[in-house]
Amino acid sequence: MKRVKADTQGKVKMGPGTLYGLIGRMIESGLVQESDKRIDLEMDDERRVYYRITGLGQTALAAELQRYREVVAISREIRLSPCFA
Amino acid sequence: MSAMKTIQRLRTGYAALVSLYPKPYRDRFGESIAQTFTGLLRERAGAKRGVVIFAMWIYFETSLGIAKENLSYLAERSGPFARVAMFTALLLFLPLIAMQFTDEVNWALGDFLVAGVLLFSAGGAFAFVTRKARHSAYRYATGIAVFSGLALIWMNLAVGIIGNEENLANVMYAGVLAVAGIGSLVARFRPIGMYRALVATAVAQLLVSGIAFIAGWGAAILIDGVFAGLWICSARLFKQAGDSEALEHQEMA
Repeated sequence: MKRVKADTQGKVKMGPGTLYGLIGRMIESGLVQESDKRIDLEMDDERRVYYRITGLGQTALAAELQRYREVVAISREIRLSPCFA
Repeated sequence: MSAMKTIQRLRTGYAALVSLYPKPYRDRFGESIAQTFTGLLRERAGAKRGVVIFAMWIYFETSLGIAKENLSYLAERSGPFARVAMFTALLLFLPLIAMQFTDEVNWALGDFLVAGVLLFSAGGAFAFVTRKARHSAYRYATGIAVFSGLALIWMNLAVGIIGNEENLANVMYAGVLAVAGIGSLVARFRPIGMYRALVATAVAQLLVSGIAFIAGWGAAILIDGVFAGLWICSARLFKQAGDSEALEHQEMA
């Protein structure tokens, strides 16, 4: 949540209700799964649950990024935005 | 009151809120959600920032998540007819809300009952006919046919298609619906049979205009033309679904 807020310069604020809703849907779709890996066994709270992206998740992410790239390329091509002029 | 005591109280309230999530969701994420909440509040308290307003925002945000998860859970667990009932109830809320803001919408209890029965019957018919549908063309075809039937009844009850709702010529539209209904039953909802039934329905719709015009009762050629177009559109989609099924059978043979 802190990372999302920082990466979007505070434009996107996410609470636990949204975050776990998204995690639940991504697990159901097979995009992420629970991971056994622990970042730091000494410091870590054993109740903490980690998630990792699956192969399907990586494919979906790559496809989505490609879609964004294509949208930007088209908007550049047709000079849709003044900043591309 | 110390910050820790405030956090403890807010946490107790939040735990009660989290208990409103559907059970499977609560079992899976409940503890993590509560931990995250406490962690966020502790961080803010550590940074000497206010926790109460922030906690209120999280309460609100989580409440939206709870509503969403409960709706999804209900929709997943309930059968198609329960979903139709929920959808009907949601649709009936629209005039109810509109009545609070404008005098243009003024529904009596009887109007809500008739609308509820019509919407539930249409939705139920769609759910029943498409329960085993394998092709999207079949579902679209059924959707268009059900919508056309519903619109035909609704328009007749509200204003009447020929003249006004008191014009007895409108009773002929019951025949149009009978052709669609009996034709569908005879076809046992098979795509090619449905295609024939709906072509017959389109012909019946145009016949109503023709009879009303010849008898001098007034006619609604444009409206009947639109309905006939919808029946034909539905028939074409049933034909497409039937052709796809036939092709599959050929490939399997």
